[in-house]
Amino acid sequence: MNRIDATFSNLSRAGEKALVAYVTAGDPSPDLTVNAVTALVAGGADLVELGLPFSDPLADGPVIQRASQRALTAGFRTSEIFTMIERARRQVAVPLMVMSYYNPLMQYGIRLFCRDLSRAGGDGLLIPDLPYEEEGELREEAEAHGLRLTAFVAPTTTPARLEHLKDLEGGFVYCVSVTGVTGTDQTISKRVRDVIRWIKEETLLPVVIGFGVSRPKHVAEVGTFADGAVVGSAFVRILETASGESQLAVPDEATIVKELTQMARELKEGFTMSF
Amino acid sequence: MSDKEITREPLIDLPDDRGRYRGFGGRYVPETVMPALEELEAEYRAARTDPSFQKELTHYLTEYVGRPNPLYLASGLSATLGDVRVYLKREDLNHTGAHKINNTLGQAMLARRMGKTRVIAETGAGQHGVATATTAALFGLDCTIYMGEEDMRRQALNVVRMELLGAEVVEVTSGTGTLKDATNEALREWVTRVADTHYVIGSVVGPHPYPLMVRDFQRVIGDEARRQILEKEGRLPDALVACVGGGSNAMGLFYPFLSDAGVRMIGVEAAGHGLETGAHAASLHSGRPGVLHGALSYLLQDDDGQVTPAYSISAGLDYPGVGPEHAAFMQGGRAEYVAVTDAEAVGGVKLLNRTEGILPALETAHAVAYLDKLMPTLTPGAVIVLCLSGRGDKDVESITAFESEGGTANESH
Repeated sequence: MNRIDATFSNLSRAGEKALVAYVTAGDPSPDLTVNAVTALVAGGADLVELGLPFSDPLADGPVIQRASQRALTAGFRTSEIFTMIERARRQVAVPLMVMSYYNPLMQYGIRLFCRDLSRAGGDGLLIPDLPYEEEGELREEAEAHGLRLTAFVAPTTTPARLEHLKDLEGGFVYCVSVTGVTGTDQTISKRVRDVIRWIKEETLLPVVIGFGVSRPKHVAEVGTFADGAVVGSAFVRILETASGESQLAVPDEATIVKELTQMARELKEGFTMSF
Repeated sequence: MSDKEITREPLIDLPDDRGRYRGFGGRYVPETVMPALEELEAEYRAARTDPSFQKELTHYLTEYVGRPNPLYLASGLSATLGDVRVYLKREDLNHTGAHKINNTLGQAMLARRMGKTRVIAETGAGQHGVATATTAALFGLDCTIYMGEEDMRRQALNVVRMELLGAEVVEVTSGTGTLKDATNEALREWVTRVADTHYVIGSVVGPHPYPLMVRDFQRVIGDEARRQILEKEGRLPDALVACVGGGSNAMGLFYPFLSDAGVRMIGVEAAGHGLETGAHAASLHSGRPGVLHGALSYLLQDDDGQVTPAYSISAGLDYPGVGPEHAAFMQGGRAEYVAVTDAEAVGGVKLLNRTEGILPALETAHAVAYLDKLMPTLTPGAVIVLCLSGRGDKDVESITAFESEGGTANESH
């Protein structure tokens, strides 16, 4: 069984929600990325996404844009993602996924990428610039290699665009909250809840919420209507302090690792807070 | 791209239902904007066959833009080149000084039809930004323009024009601070505000239906030129020449001649400091298929698929991608794509000034500069139609800077 499916099924049995943690691979270095994965899992992350940097990350905000740029400036190459996953896999049992854009995968070769990700111990992919109409070849290859390709849904998604979810055999659905579910605009929060209800009419797969989730109280709210939350920028900001780009003094690696674990723990505990 | 993606449908029938041009094109965008693209496509297809929309568009093209513009026989330029008759399609005489307004007018009318109250756009040289801000003012739409910091410096005059028109110009500092980054930023902004905002893409690039829609709004160039050349010469031209960044003025000129097999189509890309230096913007000439800004087309990129910065003295050609339909034209052998350098382009500016008293945009000057190289491939008495896509007032400072930095215009005449 794919690790993603097993993880969600275990969580559901235990009555728990999933904390999905994101960090950008190679920011600030491959070694620290691997240590970050371990630290996040130690704090309670249930799944980890590694961002494979792309020069033009149009679905990402400024924090992750900067992280991608730092990783590329430091000389990141696509093939390194597999080494990082292989190393992380020796230390953690949680599902490991790659989040990227279509072009780096296309240039590596779709089949080759899926093969190498699977061999390295990866479990799935998230490609936000690949709507379901365009995903044919990647879905085929991912499935052939035992990987899950995540389906994206947005608050703007129309019911007709959810019908394809019926055909999904595993993995999870990633629901994007445009301006942050807990933003001041309550109508957006309401729209996200509506969309999740529609999703649940199409599929039994778990649904996680991402974009704009960065605090335990956000997690607490998400937990009332979804199966998990994706947190990215909050972790990437901690790693950013290692680059010396922020105003603060550059902390040592042990401090960063400790902060990541602590942040993951607080967020995971957020699910048990009353909202 | 894999072989199974390359198809062989007649070029005239493209794109297919999925927005594909023999495998190129498509829609590689976040789910958030997919519903907006579907709405746009449905609305555009309705407007395309709606007589009242077309009538109003024609009204504004005539009364506001100043169409039809002349197809001018450039005798002085022709005499300098040799036994050839070069006709200039005078898009520089349009209101706002370039072909860009043909498209922004149509898209602003569509935005209004969809009930959107705000338009956003990316701009490189500032011509598309000015054209968008102009039509936004005309129809009372709010307008925000995204422009790279480097381009804002190079095209300061156009920034002032946009602000005078009531648009907000947002400086983009991410990435290389040029057109590609401005496009990323405009797409990001659109993701957060699709409900009230229409994104006016300025070239035949981006996700379907943009390449189709922009081509349709720009084909007025070729439709007029074809009619005018038949009136003046009694025959079709031997060749069409236009500069290619994203490729909208070229596609606008080429498309109506697509079925005229004897008419050569030549797209001129920017070779910057020279193709061999790597500092250029010749995506068709030197790139390979890849996905950027929602479409699969030729792209300047490294081995890992990271987009490499384009370079050209001309901000409007300084783009690492190109329209997917041009990729299909190239692969199908229907159009030829060549490249000329900064120095040659500056030479083109001077040539047209001296022989015709016309100051072309640096973008356009790439097409002018190629004429000399084209000559040996033509039969005596050949007839050429060149798209004079924009005027060059905005570039005077860039040319001065080029020369003060020790650059020498490459003038063959």
